[in-house]
Amino acid sequence: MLGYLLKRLLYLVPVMLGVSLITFLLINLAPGDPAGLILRSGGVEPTREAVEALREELGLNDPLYLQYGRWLWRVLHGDWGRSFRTGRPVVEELLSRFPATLELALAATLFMLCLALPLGILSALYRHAWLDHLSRLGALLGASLPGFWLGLVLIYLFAVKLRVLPVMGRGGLEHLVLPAVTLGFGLAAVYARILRAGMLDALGQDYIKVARAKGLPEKWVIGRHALKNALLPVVTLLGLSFGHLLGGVVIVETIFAWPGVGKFAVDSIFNRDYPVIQGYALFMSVVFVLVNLVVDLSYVLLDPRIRLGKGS
Amino acid sequence: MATPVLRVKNLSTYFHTSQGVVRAVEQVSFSLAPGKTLCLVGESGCGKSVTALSLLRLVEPPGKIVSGEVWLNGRDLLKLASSELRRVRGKEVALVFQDSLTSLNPVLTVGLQLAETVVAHEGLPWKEARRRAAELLYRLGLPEPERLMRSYPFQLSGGMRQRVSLAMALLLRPRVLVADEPTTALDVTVQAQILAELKRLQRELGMALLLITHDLGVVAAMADEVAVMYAGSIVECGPVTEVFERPAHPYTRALLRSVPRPGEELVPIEGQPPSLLGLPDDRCPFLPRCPEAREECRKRRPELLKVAPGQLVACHYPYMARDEG
Amino acid sequence: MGLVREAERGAGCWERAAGEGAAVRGDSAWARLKRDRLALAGLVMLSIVVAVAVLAPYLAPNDPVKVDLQHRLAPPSAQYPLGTDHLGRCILSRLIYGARVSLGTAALALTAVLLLGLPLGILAGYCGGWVDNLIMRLVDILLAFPGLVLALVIAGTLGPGLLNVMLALALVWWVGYARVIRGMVLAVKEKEFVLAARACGTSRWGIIIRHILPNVLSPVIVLATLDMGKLILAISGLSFLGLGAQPPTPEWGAMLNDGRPYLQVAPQLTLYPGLCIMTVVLAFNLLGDGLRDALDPRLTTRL
Repeated sequence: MLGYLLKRLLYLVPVMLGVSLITFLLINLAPGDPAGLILRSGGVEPTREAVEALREELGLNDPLYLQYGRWLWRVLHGDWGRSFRTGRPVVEELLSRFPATLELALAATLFMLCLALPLGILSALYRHAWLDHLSRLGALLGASLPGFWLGLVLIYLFAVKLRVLPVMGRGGLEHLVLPAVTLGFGLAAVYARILRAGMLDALGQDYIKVARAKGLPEKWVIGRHALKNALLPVVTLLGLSFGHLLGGVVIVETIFAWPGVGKFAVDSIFNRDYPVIQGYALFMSVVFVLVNLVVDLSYVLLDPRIRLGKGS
Repeated sequence: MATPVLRVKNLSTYFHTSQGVVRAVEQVSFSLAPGKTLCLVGESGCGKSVTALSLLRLVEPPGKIVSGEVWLNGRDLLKLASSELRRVRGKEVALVFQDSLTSLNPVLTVGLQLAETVVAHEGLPWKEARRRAAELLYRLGLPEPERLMRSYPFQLSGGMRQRVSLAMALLLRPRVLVADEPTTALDVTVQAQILAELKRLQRELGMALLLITHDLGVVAAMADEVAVMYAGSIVECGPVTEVFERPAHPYTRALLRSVPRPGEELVPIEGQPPSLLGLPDDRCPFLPRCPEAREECRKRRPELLKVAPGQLVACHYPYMARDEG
Repeated sequence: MGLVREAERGAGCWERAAGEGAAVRGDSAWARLKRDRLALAGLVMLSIVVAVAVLAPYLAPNDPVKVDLQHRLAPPSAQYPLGTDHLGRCILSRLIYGARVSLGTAALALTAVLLLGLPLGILAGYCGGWVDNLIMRLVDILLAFPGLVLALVIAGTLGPGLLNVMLALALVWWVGYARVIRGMVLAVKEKEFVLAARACGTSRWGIIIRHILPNVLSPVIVLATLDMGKLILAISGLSFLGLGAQPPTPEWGAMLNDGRPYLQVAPQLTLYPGLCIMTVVLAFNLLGDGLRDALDPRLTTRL
């Protein structure tokens, strides 16, 4: 277990180095000169001398690898630069907004599981019944539905027409409902099908027949014997999906004016606030990699075959 | 013969597939006396396993039990409400399957899988149930029961797993044990050990055993009675001594000849086992492979009839040892 | 035991599919597809959308970018069959031309993705060694960014515009193809017929073009069909954020964004473009699922 963890962490080092390199190079994609951008962010057209002086100060005239080394050193020490717009450190800005994003992503995951678990289990048990067909239709629509459109439709229905839920901003639980549903719906539909396939697979196994032959109550057969096996593939996918949630959160946060990192990133893009954009990419990647690490570890804990050192 | 503990009458189980109806079990009848062993033998795919599953109504769609009676203790299991059937499964009639790797749940500990049976049937607290399970493992002579209880199936050897499966079935002292090829996947030495243990436990518990196998050596070692299945039906049955000494059905004779024995020529059975799909009803199912087929065999399916005390054969021209004599 | 087993599932299927790919192509695949009613529905829907996109100038009743401030947010009429938007532009005409933009950008982006992903995947799988290592590490790095975060950031840094969005998507999207194709090439590489070809002295490129490409073709067709839908979603999503199509281009995602402020008074401004996106994506999903079943009958997992 510890060895596995160490191996995973060691493997992450080159990956994260690559991530940092890509993030660093990102700024070079931007049209125009970074020094000029910084000076122009004040709103005044800078002189050539001022730009040149700042270039020298920032080390922009040095070779690229030297710049990268310096940048990486600072990033590793928690200095991710300052926002052009607010002047505050990027790390602070991101960290202060991250709880809102996390809250939303977790709520969406919760909603997703609440919908997908019963739907997946029931459509496996009542295969080819109306519920199964309904969930298949839902999955097809869920995979085809633009999230931003679903969000607007939900706003129209529940906030404009029925006036039961608030539209904008973060607050109590009622503020969380629409964004979480918007974010989680597509995934819920897909996960219901994944779980259904897993359940059908498990239910066809010999150990289910044995469990029934032992005279176990059906809810033990389903809940203990089939579900635990069917959930294993779901757990591996959860990490990946959480990444998609963190990516998809950008649009949902924008629609619902949710004060998270996604909305902040979009605002920064339109303000050409490059340090924030850079920091956002790096930050999301770190979060994603950590989430996947946790998911992998929990998978190891759930599956004794891996935990006790057999199989892959 | 004592009053049978299990009596099966005209059991038929069909599989309704897209290609047509597969008659996996056709009009099977047999009975099982307490403390005795009945061996069900036949080639793979002849319907032995489906027969075992049908007894406890464990056949899954597209399979369906279409007719028959399974009498246990004055009750027809095929007509029992599912809640009552659940109380019979595992407690009065227990099942052991062939492959213990797939028949034990890979993500649950051995202890849990043993104890849950006790909890389900007797409502004991988990701790008590685990103690009972450990006790049985100890009595079965398994080393370190406590450690065994904590392990997962993949950590055990094949023989150990099969012993666990056996323990799981015997935990509640069932009156009838149905064992479907319990030793087929094992090494010969382990196989012999497990069969010996099974025999000892059967004597201790006074349990009736329905042993399904394709191995005639196992039959000779274990059986009191034997029933030979071919293409979903029993073609010959009777006391093992009678059937082995004086096999009356051409298939039984061929089966016995196909077992290697020192000093004797090995004669394989001609042809392939029949497809159970769309098997014609109006002739003997063994016809295509029978060396002694005659006109009558093409016209009518033979019924199971008595040829000697206790010995029944489904053949128009049963082979009689005394005919030759 | 196990009388009724579920068909094999899982990620390994593509690799397995590679070897037998040749056996299931051809007429029988088309016959299987024809029997799949949902896939046919997808095909019909797509044909209609493509026809609409191609014939847009003949079908659209009005100029999609002509502003008519006299008739802002007008209800449906003979002149404007679906009414007008906040600038008095004909909604129907914009939707019709939007099909062009959506299909066109997605197809272009997909082409770029394939041009990157196919050669890199084949190279990684066929060459192995440090080439494989380099490409696969790059894949790992790109996969360390969640979802479309990297595409968003690249598009954002390059600046708004459809071209930049397509470029950004291509830069991150090829990864999936490279991985799948590498796996299949690895599987095919060891097959007897490839070994035989090599023994006969066929050149590397000869082997790749004649033996490996045909085998990876059918999974790529399936993936690409499903990805057209996903790319349309991504492009319209980025346009919705304001990063993609710029005014006055009639693009569905951008139209949705334009309609947002008028959600209360004119919900149809957001309703129609969304329905259009969903229909097209659904059509690609249905067809892709159908193709997967038809090209490889053993892959029975579908939604």
